[in-house]
Order: sequence, then structure tokens, then C-alpha cells
Amino acid sequence: MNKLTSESGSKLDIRINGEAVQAERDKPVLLAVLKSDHEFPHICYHPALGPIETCDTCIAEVDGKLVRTCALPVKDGMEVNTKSVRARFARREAMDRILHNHELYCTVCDNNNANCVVHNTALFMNIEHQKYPFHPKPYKQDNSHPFYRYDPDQCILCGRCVEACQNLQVSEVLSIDWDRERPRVIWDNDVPINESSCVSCGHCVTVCPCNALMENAMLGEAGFLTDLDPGLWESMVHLTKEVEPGYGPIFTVSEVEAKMRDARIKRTKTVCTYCGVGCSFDIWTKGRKILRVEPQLEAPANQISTCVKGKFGWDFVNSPERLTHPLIRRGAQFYPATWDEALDYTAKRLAEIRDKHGPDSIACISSSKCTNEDNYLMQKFARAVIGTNNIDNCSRYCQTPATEGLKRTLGLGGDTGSITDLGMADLVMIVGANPAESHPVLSTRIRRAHKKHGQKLIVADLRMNDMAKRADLFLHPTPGTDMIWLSAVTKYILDKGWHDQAFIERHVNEFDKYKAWLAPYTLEYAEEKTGVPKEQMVQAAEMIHNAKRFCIAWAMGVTQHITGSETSTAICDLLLMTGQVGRPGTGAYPLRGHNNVQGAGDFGCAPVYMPGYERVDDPKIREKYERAWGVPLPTNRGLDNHQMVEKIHEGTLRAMYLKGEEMALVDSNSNHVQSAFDKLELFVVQDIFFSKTCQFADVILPACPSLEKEGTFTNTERRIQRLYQVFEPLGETKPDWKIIMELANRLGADWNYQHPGEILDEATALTDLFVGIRYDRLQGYNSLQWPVAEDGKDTPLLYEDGFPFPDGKARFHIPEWVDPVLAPNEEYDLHLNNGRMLEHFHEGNLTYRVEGIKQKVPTTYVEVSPELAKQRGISTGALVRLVSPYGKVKIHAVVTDRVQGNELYLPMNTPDDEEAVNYLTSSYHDAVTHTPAYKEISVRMEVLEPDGESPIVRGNFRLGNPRSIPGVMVENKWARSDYEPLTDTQETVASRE
Amino acid sequence: MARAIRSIVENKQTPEERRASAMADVETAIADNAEAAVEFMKMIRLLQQRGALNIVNAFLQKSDDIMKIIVDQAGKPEYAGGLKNGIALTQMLSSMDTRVLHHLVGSLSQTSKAIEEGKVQKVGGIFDLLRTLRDPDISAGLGVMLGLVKGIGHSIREASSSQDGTAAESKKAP
Repeated sequence: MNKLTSESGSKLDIRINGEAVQAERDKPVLLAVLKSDHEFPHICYHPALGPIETCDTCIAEVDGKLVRTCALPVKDGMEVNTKSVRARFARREAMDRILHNHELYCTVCDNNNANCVVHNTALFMNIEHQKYPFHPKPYKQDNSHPFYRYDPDQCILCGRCVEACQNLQVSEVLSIDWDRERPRVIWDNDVPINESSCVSCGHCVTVCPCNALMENAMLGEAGFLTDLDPGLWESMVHLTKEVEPGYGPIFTVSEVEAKMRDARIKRTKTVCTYCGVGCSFDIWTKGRKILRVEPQLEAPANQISTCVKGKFGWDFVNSPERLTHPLIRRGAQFYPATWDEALDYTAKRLAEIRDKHGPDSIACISSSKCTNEDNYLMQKFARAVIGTNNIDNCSRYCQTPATEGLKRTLGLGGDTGSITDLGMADLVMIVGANPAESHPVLSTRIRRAHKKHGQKLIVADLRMNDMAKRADLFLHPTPGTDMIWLSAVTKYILDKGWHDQAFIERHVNEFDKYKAWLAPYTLEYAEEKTGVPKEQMVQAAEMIHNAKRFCIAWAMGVTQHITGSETSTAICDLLLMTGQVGRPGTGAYPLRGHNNVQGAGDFGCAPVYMPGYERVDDPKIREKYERAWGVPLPTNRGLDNHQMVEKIHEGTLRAMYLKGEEMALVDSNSNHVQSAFDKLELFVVQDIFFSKTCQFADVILPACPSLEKEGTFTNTERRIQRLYQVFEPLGETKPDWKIIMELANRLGADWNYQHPGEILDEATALTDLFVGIRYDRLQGYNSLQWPVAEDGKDTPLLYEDGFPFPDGKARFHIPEWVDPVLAPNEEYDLHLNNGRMLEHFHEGNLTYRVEGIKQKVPTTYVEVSPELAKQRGISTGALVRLVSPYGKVKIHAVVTDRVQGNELYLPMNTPDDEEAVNYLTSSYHDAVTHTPAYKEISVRMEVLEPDGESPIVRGNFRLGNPRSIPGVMVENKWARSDYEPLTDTQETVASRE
Repeated sequence: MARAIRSIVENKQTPEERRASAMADVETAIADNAEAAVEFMKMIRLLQQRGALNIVNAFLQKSDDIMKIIVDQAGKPEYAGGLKNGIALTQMLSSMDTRVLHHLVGSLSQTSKAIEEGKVQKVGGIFDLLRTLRDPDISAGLGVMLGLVKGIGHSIREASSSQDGTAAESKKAP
């Protein structure tokens, strides 16, 4: 672990300026100094990055020597003197050198928002004059990137951005070229930002202590005087310099201006709606303009981290294509309607169908993108108002098998720990997941631990994705065979006696049965079935054996197979066998795909579960809800979304109310699903855009995206977080919970919720698992990880005190092997893998409406291996048709060694009918959970045009050339002939570690 | 049966309807803030009567050009010097002891009152001048003025010595 970042240690006695104080062992002296003097200068040190040692502004005398306090760990009995003349002189000199690189025109600067580190440091230090006059650098501003710009003239060369890029995000794009006469930050090998390998995560912009790196959306918008034409702006800067007798007055004016900005720029905490990591941040808005996403250190899942979507992907909210009023189908057209018309009509039709065909002829589909409150009300609507258990959500498409595997073995259907545990582990194994693109911020924690702290990494995947490239061991199994090699590794560990006997005896049942079942899973058998060489499985077993703390993360590469639940079970069995659960840095992490997949399931949007995973078929549970809701509840078993499609085809399911899901494109076998929609008597779709699914609707109800409503989301860590309303609902749109309530009341419900907080409090009070979750306990950045006890005590790490079974013990569960379906054959000879790409989310209804993202990645594409391309005579840009037994798509190809042999990869991220992967996938599914086997499909490829323009356009990071370096490499600065040291010793953090 | 369709009939608001709905919004806003609206109209009338609205409108229409002229002018050494003096004067005033300033201003207004009332003492020749020194008011005032002269001299001498290079300044990169 990096000791100089922020974890707690024991206290030591030191003296600061003669006063005895307590300081934490191994923490930087700077932090101890800041406790008593919060204005003590420091510019390059950032709590999330640790010491960088470039700025020299935090120098003090420690035990008689001038040192950088950011880089010196606290030791017992230290004497720190910050006020000596030598120390003050050194800091002053350091600040003067910084201002040599930075022009102070604060009042006409968009970064003058009371949080500019350079401004505030100069102010606190009472800097009145510039000792070394500002000299422009011989470089132009880099305005190439759609989301941010770099101004070398304002760059103080502190290297925070480089440290963030190299060692926190670990995309390894930025560096400082110290060898130039005037150093600057460069991207890759000094190319324009937009042509580099920059993934647009925004870390660099977030940590920049001044205005050198700025979000484009801020420029000319944040300040009152910053949107001037360039000539006038330059004159203003010139004038301020001419008349300034000292910086005092300029700071006064800029402070006043910064205060004025508060009046018109609103900062609201929200939670990201892309992926299950659950990043939270402040979003800055002026009217309906989004100026900036500013992550905060106190954000529990991500601190200051974001990805391109969370940092820059919000403009869809203001898209002119938003649905703004209800629509009703009449003949072959949709007509605008008032809310009363739309809701009255919907209620009337639903009542008619229910009266005629019974409540089970109606189904509801809820959304993993909506809040817990929206989801709770949707299942309450289905059960209490319609009277059916036909309620589901799209977690069925992704992670339900993982939940099943976890519940069978460990007891609870959620990640066993937190993202911090993944960072703490000695070994992480990723199976069938691509977190670098699908869970970007979570992946940074693994990359950082791997690069900085020696964490080991095993990746099992079909593709050589970013994490696979970094892995210490990469396994490439035959598609759909993970369960076999995982079981073989488990057996090998057992045979070697490396299993955790004591843990198993105390905590796990069914050991003997499981041991007997494992017998046939020899390395030889596994190698034959999976193609993974024996040596690699042995190596994996050895790495697991040598790890004190071991985590396994998995996602759709495991779950979207007909053995999804079984492989998930095998993963949990391996963890139990090695005792790697219930301790910090260990456990099982099924990476949730959408922001609220966890919450949609948690709050009862599934046919067999009420909120809190309490079973519908348990009469006691049903009675509890009948009392609370004051209505009798259905006893029939409900349909999941897979079964709903079948029942529509059979003619027994006649009406559907669906919200926030693009089911027509994201359920597998789209042609089959869409022809089902054709047959519905009533189809009500609630969304923010006119999606493909909307095309089949009878009534379309316009809802609000997250920025226009309140509520809570639950992330992959089981962490429940609150979002606050940023904008008023656009046009006539309404938050989902209000729409559901208004529809319910037209069907006789008499609900009267005034605020989502009331809904959450009602929902959690009825459960055991969430009983302590209260809206008022989630203020600001406060969050709770379930289970939460009545007193509000939450559970970041599960199973520390045993497992939630009657005897407190986990259990080995025997998975059932089934051969994959639709393996390549003569007619369909290529395996088609599918998944996501970083820039887009899901079918792309949101992200293709963000101009900058669309510029960078305008379309999806199919990845073809170099050997296959050669064999078929195609090159990047070729137009091909992929044909499966279920449908066909037409798409451009990219030749890349990310895929191998006869395996193709087609990102699902497209709203385009011609390209959407689910026209190819089948209706085969996991036997237990009915999750479609999206990953088990084979196609044939017909070449339409053998070459053409690459679908990967300029601005795509995949064309860049990252450079991995240790960090900012301050030694190179110190080695410059024009650098005069200000400290008495020149020792780096790196050399001490 | 619900075949996929894409056609949406636009909510065809006529220009009149749009106008009417905008007018309704304005009416509501005014009705909700009647008192403020009336006050505001009064102010507008006054501004219009005094010709101020004309000036403001012209200024706003040409604001960028005008700003450029002003800022460019202000940036010229002669005017920048004036602004500098202004700032220096403000700094001086704010650094002065307020009690001293109070006495100074008080004495000025007393003097002007005396002039108005024709009560100013006439001084007839050098001996008369010397005699007036016995007046305790004059002696105290003269003391202050001498102190001021000394201060100015000290300030000037210091400034010229630092121009000689006594106060060192060196160049430093990066």
C-alpha cells in the first residue's frame, strides 16, 4: 500500500512550531501541519494522488533540515518548524517560480470559482508581486479534444495530471517532457490530445490546480467577464497588469467575482446512471447548461475518479429529441395527448383487459436505470394494483445468474465486499469481464494496485482487452467452458492440500459431496474441454495459493451462457475452498452492469421476490405486505421477461407496461421479441426518448432522466446513494414514480406520495435486509451498504460473522455442466462474442446523443482477427454481413489482434437496426434464471466490400500509443541545470519506498 | 396488433397558440408579483423620461466595441498611470489612521468656514509670521507638515537607492 495516501495508522507525538501535537504514523508531515494551519501552502500534493514533489511550496524545517512535508512520513518526536525564516523563504521562492509559469488574470478566468489552488495559495501567502515575470511558453493551446483543452501558458508543471493519468486512472497517456527548454505536458509521444490514447476520463482536468486543463463546457460560461472576444479579453489582461500595483486588489476583485458566480452556477450532487460502479459527483449547471462534473473526495465509490460517460456524457438531457408530451397511437401514427388523456386511456384499457382476461394477462417491466423508489412502486403497481406477479427487470439479461450462484453458496446476492477490497487484494482474477470498458472507475483501482502495489492479476477472456494485456496470466478458454477450468483449478488446489481446511470445517457445509463431485475435473480433462493448457491452470492455482487476499470479479462473459448460474456457482465454490470470503481484500464481485441493476432486484422487481429478496410464495411474507398495502396479493407464480415474450406469442399475455428499457433491441433474438410486441393488445412504454421499443407502443409516456428527479440508486457494492434534482422536468415530462402513482390512482389505488423519500422509507421499513435504510441517513455523500440494521449500521464487507443460513455456514453447491449451444458448425463457422465499448452505454440511446462522444465513436463495428481477415481477404473498413439462424446485420469490420482465430466481437452499443447484435442472438437461456445465452451464438460472415474507410475514426483512443512511465519523474526536473534545490536533501518518495 | 411505426404527428401549435401561451405565462408572472411589477414600471418610466434608457440601449448595443475602446485607452501608460494613482490613493487612504484623517478633514472644514466668515487672520510681514508661531494651533499644524515632508524625503531616497541596484533581483527558471 502507498503509505503516503490516506489510510489510518497509529498516533505519534511530534512538535509543530513548539507545540506538542498527535500525528498519524507514516502519514505525511504535511497532513499534520494542515490540521492546525489549513492555509499552509501545498499545490502538487493531492490526497488521492499522494506526494508528487514538484512544486516545493510545502517546505518546512524538520529536525533542522528543509524538507518537502508532503513526502516525509511522520516519525516519533519530530520537530517541525514551518515559521523559520529559511522555510518561509524557500516556500516564497517556490511560489515565485510557479508564478513564472502562470499569468494571474483571475477575474477574467473561468477557473475563478473559489477552488483554484494556485489562486488560493497565492492569496494565503500574501503574494503581492511577481518576482520572476511571467514568460509565455512557445506552445499553442491544444483545443483538439471535444471535452477539454490544455493551455501550456497557464500550466505550472505540477504534474498532478500526469500522476492521475499514469497512476490513478492508469491509462498512461500523459507525461511531462522535462528535457525541453520550457517543459510542458505531452500526450502520448507529443501528439494533439484528440489523436492520443486519451480515454477522456477527465482525471487530469479534475486534479489540475489551475486553469491549464479546463472542461470546454466551462470556457466562456463560468465567469461574468470571460466570454469576451479574444481582442477585448487580451486588452483586459493587459490592463490588469498595467494598473496592478500588487496582487492584493486583483485578488479582492476576483474573490468578489467568484462569489457572484455562486449566484448563478448551481452545484448539485448526483449519482451516475452509467454502469454499476455508482460514481457520485457534483454537477455544475447554469440554467439548463451543464458546465462541469466535479467529483469529490468524499464520494464513497469513486472519490475523484470518473470515466468519459460520467464526466462528459450528460448532454442527452437537453437533446431536442427528448419526448416531452404523451403520445397515443391512432392508426399508423402517434398523436400528442395530454397527461389526462394518456393516463385515462391507459387505465381504461388495462382495466378492461384485466376484467376480461384476469390480472395475469398483464405484465410490467421495470428498469435498472430508474431509482429504487421508481422500482419499488412499479412492483407494487403490478402486485397491489394489477394483481399479478408478472414483474421483472433487465437484470435478467445480465447478472441474475451471478445472484443465483451467490445465493446458493454464500447466501446473499451481492458483491461480498467493496471496491476498496479489490484494490487491497494480493491477487484479482477477472473472468469474462472487461471492466476497463464496462466498469471503468472500478478497473482503475485494480490497475493502480497492479502498477503501484504489486497486486497480481489473472484474466480469463476471449479477447485481449486492456486488463488482459496487463495481466500476469491470461487464459483463453473455448467459449462457454469457464466452469470446467475453474473446477479443475479448484480440484488441483484441493489435491495439493492448498485448500483452507480450518475455514471449511468452521464455515462451510457439503465439503465431502463437493469433493467427490470434483473428481473427474482433472487438468487433462479440463485442457481437453477448454483448450487452456495444463501449465496455465497450475500457474493460476499457484498464484491463488500464494495470495493471502484473493478476489474474483466476473460479469457477462460468465453469466450470459446457458451455464451462467453454474459457472457463477463454481466461482463461489473456489472462493470457499480457499477461504477467500469474509475478510478485507477477498471475495466475489459480480460486476453489475447498470447503475441500478442491484436496486431493481433489491426492491422486488422480480416475479419470485418481494423487496429484500423475501419470497413471494412464503405466506408469512405475503401477509405482511397485504397488511401494509391493504390489498390481497396474488398467489400465482409470475412470469420473468423471457417467459413474458413466450406468453405473448402463445396469446395469454395481452398487455404490457414497460418503463426505461430498450427491450426491442437488448433482449436476445430481437426479431422474436419484436414480433411478440406486434401481438400485444396494449403496450405502454415509458421512456425519455422515442426508442425502438416505443415504435411498438400504443401509449408512450414521457419520463425524466436522473438529473430531473430525486431518489436513490444501489451500486454493485450494495451501496445505496441519493441523487438530488438538478433540473426541472423538461416540457411536460414527469419522474417515473409520479407517472406510476397517477396511473395507479386511476385504477383505484389512492396513493399519496409527495416525495421519493416517503417511498423509500415505506419500502425499507417492510424488509429485514434494508430496515435501517432511511432517506435522511443518505444526505449528501452519505451512503449505506446493505444489510443495514435498524440503528443504521451498514455492512461494507459481508460474512465477517458467518453466513445467512440457519446454521450460519456457507455451502458448497454442485454446479451442473451443460455443453454450450450453437457452437460453430459448417454453416455458421464463426463464434460471435459481444459486449460493450467504453464510450457508449447499452444500446446508445443516451450516449449517441452526446455530440463529443458521437464524434469520437460514431458507430459500432465488428472486430475480426488478423488471421481470419487474411483468410477472407478483407481489411479494416470492409463491409460484411453477419448471418445467424435468427437474423442478420450489416456492419463494418476492424481487423485487430484483440480477437483471435474464428472469434468475432461485436459491441452491442448501437441503436441502428442494421447493426444491432441481438438480431443475431438466440432465445437459448440459462436453465435456472432464464438469462439469455447472448454469448453462445455462431454466425457466418459474407463479405460485401473487402475494404473501405475504418469505422474507428480519428479521436478514438484505440488509435493512440500510450506510454507507461512511473509517474511525473520529478528527478528529471531536479537534474536540470537551471533547477536550484530549495531543500537540504533531495530524496524521492520512490527511492524511499 | 401494434406494428412498429415511427411517424409522430407533431403537436402543431399555431403561432397564435404559442403566443397566447407565452402571454399567459407573462400574465401569471406579473399577477404573482404585482407590487414589484408596478414599482418596476415606475422606475422604467423615470429612466425613460430622463433619457437614460436611450443611453443604456445604445451602450448595450455597442457594449463590446465600447468596452474595447475604454479598456484600450485605460491600458495606455498615461491613463494606466492615472488608474495606478487612483489605486495608490485608495491604498494610502485605507492605510491611514482614521483618527488622524478625521482631524485633517475636520481642520479643513473649520478653515473653509473661517474663510467664509472673513475671520482669517492677516499676516503682515516676517515678524508677524514669527509671532504667529506662538499660537499653539499653528505650531501643532506646522509640526505635522514637517513630519509629512520628512516622510516624503525618506520615501524618495529609498526608491532611488534601489534603482542603483541595492535591492537585488535575479532571473529564475522554470
